[in-house]
Amino acid sequence: MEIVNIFAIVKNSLLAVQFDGKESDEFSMLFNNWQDVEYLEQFFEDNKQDLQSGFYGNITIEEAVFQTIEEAESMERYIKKVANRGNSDPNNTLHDLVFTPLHKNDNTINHQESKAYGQNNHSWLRMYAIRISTNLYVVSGGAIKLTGKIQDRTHTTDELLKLKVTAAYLKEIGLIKKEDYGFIEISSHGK
Amino acid sequence: MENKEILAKLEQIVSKEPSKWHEESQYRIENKQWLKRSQAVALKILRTLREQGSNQKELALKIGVSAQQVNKWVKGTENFTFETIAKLEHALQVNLMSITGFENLSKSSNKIIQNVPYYPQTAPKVSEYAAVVNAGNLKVVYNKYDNKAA
Repeated sequence: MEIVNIFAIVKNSLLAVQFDGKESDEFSMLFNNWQDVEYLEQFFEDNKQDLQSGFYGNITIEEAVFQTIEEAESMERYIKKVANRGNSDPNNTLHDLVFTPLHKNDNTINHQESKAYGQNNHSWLRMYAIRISTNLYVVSGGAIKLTGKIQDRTHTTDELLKLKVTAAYLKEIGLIKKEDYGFIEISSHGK
Repeated sequence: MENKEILAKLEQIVSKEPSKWHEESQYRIENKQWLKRSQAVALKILRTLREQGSNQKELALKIGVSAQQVNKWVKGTENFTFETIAKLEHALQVNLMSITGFENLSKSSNKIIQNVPYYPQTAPKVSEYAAVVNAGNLKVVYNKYDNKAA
């Protein structure tokens, strides 16, 4: 697994990597998948037990597909708005997204943000990113997280590997130094 | 690492090409209204195939299109024609689309058509159509209606 390119989603604020053999960067792929009916129907069918285990309440596959599409749309619209504002706007921050450290006792981040999930936030959409500085993140992938921990399922543990590969790449090109970064999980307030 | 240093590095490593997401998301936002309907049709197709123990390949064969074409339909981004919807409904034996509030629409349409002689207020049976045609009125009826509507 190798990184072949890196793209700006929000200039100097949100970047995304592209892995070899993939058609586009991870950020684009996430939003394509999260609004692809065939992908979602198959995903929820494959993970029906987790979906209906009660972690998110009892929910049908049809409801789950449409809920995912709506959440993705809402997240996408917000990021689009920020991206369109351009870099000159001092308010160009992604403050409506929730950035949380992936590992609860992660001490590797110098400027730890402490945003909490909104009380009504039941979104299962997650982006995973390396945090380089206060307002600079590099997205390595994402997932629909139906279980409590990232380690619980294969499709989410794959994301841990992608995070590690991305961190190694950023170190290699000199963008991060040891202990300058942290693994971050990004979700939305579910607005 | 200093902020300035980071920004200079970014300038070097970040692709000059924009991410595909910018264009793709713009398209999704601009076409949201009809995409919603396309997604609903796509999901109904997929769930019906699953219920019937069938698959996209079999559906493609039934309709006489390629499997790739069916796969395009079930992504939820296809701007379906009525013709395709009708073919899918026939092949799957399900209703994929219905127009709600049609009764009200008919009532308001009646205001336009009530003065048109012989305009059928309800869909006539085949035998009734035949009677109207035999009476030589059908052509006149629709011509008049078309003129009014225009």
